[in-house]
Amino acid sequence: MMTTILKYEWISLLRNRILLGAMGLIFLAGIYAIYYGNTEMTKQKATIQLVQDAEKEKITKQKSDFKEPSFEVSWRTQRTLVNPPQSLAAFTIGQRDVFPFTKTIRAYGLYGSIFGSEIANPFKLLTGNFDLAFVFIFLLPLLIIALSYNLLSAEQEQGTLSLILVNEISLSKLIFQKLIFRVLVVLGFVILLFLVGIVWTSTPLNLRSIVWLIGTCLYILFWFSLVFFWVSYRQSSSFNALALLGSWLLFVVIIPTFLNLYLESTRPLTSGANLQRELREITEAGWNVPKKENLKKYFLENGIIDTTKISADMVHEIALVHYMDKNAAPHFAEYKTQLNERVNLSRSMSWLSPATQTQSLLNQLANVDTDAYLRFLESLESYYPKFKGFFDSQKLANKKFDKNDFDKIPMPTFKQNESKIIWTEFLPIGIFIMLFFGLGWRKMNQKIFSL
Amino acid sequence: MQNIIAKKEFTQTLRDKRFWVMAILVWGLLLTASVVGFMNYRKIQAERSNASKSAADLWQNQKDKNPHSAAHYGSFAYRPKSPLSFVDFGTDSFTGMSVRLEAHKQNDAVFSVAQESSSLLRFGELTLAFVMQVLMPLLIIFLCFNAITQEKESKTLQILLSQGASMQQIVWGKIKGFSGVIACLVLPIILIVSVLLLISFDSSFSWTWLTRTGLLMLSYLAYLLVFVVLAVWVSAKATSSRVALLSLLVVWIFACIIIPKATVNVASNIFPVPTSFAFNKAIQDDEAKGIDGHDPEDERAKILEKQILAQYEVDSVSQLPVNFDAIQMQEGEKYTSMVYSKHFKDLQKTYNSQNKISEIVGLLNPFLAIRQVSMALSGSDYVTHANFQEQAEKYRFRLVELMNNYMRDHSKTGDWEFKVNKNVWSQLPAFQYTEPSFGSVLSRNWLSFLSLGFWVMLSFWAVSKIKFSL
Amino acid sequence: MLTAKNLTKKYGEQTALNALNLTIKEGEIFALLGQNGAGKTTTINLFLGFIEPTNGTVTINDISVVENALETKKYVAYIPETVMLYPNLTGIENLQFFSSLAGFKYSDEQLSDFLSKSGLQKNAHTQYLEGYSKGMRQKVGIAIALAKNAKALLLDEPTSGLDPKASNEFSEILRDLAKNGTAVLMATHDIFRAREVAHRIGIMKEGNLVSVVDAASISANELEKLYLQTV
Repeated sequence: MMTTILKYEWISLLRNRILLGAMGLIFLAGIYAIYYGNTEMTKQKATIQLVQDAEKEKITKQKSDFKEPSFEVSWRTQRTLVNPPQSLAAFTIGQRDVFPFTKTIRAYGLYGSIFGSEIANPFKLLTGNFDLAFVFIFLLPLLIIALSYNLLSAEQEQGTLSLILVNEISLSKLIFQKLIFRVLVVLGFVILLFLVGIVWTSTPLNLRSIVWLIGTCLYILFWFSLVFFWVSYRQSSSFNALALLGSWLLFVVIIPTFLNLYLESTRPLTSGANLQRELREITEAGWNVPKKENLKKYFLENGIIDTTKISADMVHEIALVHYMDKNAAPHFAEYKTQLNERVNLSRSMSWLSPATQTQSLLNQLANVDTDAYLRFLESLESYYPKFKGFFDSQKLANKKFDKNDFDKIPMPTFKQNESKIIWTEFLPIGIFIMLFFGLGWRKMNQKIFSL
Repeated sequence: MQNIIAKKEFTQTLRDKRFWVMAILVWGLLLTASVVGFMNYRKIQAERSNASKSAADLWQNQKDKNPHSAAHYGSFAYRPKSPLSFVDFGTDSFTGMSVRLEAHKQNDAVFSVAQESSSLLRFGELTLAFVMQVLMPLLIIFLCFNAITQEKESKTLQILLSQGASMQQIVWGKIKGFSGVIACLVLPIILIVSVLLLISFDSSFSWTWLTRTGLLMLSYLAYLLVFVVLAVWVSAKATSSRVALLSLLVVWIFACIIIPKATVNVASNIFPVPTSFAFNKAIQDDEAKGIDGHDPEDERAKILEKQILAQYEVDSVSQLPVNFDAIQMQEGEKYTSMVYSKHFKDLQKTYNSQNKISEIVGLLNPFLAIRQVSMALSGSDYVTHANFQEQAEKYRFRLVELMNNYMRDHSKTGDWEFKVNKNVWSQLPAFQYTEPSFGSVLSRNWLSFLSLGFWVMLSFWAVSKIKFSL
Repeated sequence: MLTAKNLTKKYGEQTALNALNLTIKEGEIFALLGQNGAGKTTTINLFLGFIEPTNGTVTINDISVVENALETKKYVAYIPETVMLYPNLTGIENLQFFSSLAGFKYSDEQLSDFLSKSGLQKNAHTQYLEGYSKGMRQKVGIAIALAKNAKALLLDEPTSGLDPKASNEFSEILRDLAKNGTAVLMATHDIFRAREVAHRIGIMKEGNLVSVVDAASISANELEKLYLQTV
């Protein structure tokens, strides 16, 4: 019986030109999305390569131009930290187009160089990326709706339902088999697109990418649970179509925009602008502090007791930078806390719609969300003292920078800046699925004996 | 005859429970979007004008110092939100809000809302514009998809015709009726927006902004009219209500969701923008060809020195009655500012080419046209932002120039201990951003206005061709 | 009043109506019998100008339907097989809407009279059509035709779905109208009703009007026999 129904569902799908056309169209959209995501990320990788090459060239030149040991090298040296896109970023670009992915560190202050953004057309940012996540989260539900809005009602409306039910098959079995058929079709569709993407972008098929796929599949199951829920009401095809489309609007469009509105009206923007203003005042104040006083403070704070060897002129600049960094740090910390709060609040609200939850999950797995940028900032913060400390300790020891010292400058680590896989984030989607399946199941059992 | 049909359509719709459910939902959304949007706008606007004021105060009340130190100290430019930006946030959330103004350096506008948000923001923002552009067409589709098909299916169309109504009269009557319904839905919102706008004027009433609101609302009405007319047209052409609804929904998904995104993404592939790195490097390379404001060993500085010495007919810099350092710095500033402006203009050109594609596709998709018109009239499009950046750069240049010139005229070369006070600071007025003129907004967006007009005409023409057929 | 000369309608190769010649005078009731697809509805649609003839002429009150479709609508009223009407308007509102389209301005009382005359019980007049049965809706359709006071009446199986009593009342109304000079063309499957109410009866087969008989000269049984022989 099962195979009979699946077989006929398959035949009628193959003969439905409109549905096949829609599937073809969404498949093409998926292919374009993979192409688009891949080009964008290839571009970012190429830029990173370019930046690193330019820096290498600069270092080589610095070495070859090196004449005699001096104290000045520190002011002319820079190191660039990069945040390269990781494999899944081509599937979901997330916030990567908004944030800079290369940052240059110099010895004269950390916070002056920390701001800025990647060049991007704001209009394009507003419209958003046509990536695979968009196809899965926005467009795929529409395909699911088109495939299954008349799952049962079509049989009812063309009068075939009673003809089927005179056989030895229960209504719930019939619905489940039809549903399973559609789930299989859509999952096959998704897995196919995913595999195309994996091969095309040469993404490794590891735990992370499999989890990414599982997230997508769960989202799809959510939509089928909604289909089941509405179908269980046994209404007409047009009612189902409207109800499902309304659900799409609610979960994909209205709830996310409402969450945004709530976020913006309850959580103020960060004090980033404030930080920028403070930096200026701190710089100004730093220059105005008498040199001696500043030095004294610097020595005291760094536990330097024996200052006989130290030339005050040399160290004054170090002390000045230290003063600025130290005073700016709390403001930066505040900025980060506020940013974190905003991000955390939006994450803690995401569960209200499986669409936002899935998007957040996929972005997290691909390391393309705002958290990934915050982690990048942290890697800047942790590298900066190592870099600056190297020069500082030389100067404090009254040792000039030698040609050999170039290789001793600590290198920034390009450690993969990866998020943890948080399994509990799947929970809300799972709860939604169970909820709608459960409600649908109850409704169906109530009505099971009436045609 | 038309009016009889229009009136019937109107009464019937108002008696439809489903309509009221949708209408209340849409009203709720519109009301929330406009009121909360307005409150947020007020909050942000207050913050920015305070920040702007405090930036000006800090400049005026800075300590006595060397003019060049003051130029380094610099200031900030904050972009005020336009009075209509609560209707349409446009690109506002994706552009920086403040620019650091300092000597030798052109900074980008930083701190965009997008950089302070999670990816949730990318789902879109609930604004009046969003409801009007995306959700209202959907409501219209649900309202009108069976306008004609239902009359056909219930055979009333034949009775109507046998009673002496022509197909054209029926169709136009329907369009009138539905337009009336939509107008009743939208007019209260127009009223609310106008009142909010009047509140936002505070003391400074502006006819320009009122006109802009008027034109904005007219554009929206035109856009919605296109959907009403098209929906009725599709309904007249479709073989059944189901087909009509399905085709209209497909049209909606393409027009409002897929095409806008695809167009912009393709446009960015056709006109690629440089990366920040390449952009900054090109500027640095060009600047290296110019005079270095601080390096006296620079070759071009030497040439300049000769020129100036000849001009004042003296032999050495120390004999000059003016400060040569200041002259050199000003020359450097001029050069870098020129270089930056050139590259910034190039970048803007690329953006504009990208955006132009959307405007051209607007001829095929009225959604793109209304989006452009709405952003431009609300003063939240990219062009307005670029205009702000240009004005900020001009102001920065003015600030630095004022300092350099004062230093040139009132101190001697090498005298870095020279200090000035409040009297000099006060020569620089506070930064005041002026929006692009209404005329320039109109002339820049003629294509999108044209597209809207074109769509109204096209849909009217299509409907005028409808004939009855069994 | 209603005239068809050599009236032909083809859909590609298929002939829906072949060279129909028919004249219905004022005060005459003409019934068309025939199987499904014999051309009855095509004939009515041609008189209504809903479809264009391939050949021949069709006139109402000596005005060509093809050339002056709108003008002819002044003289004609029409009741389709199943009248759906507008579910969320009342009976009176429906009637008012349609008759105002035809250019009439009746008071509520007059409208109510028409509905009553058509056999619709008084208490239903101000109820929404949603709750009406098929027969009740059909009665509103009849009222629409009555209110138009047309010289010609085109009916496409008007009594399908009416109970026998209502059918009978409907026949009475038609006879009244004919007495006052209205020409009636009625397509029907109801052989007995046709013989009872019509003056002449035509039987159609595959687009041809095969035979025309005087209703007075034939009994119901004879008519049925003729019908079965013809089709």
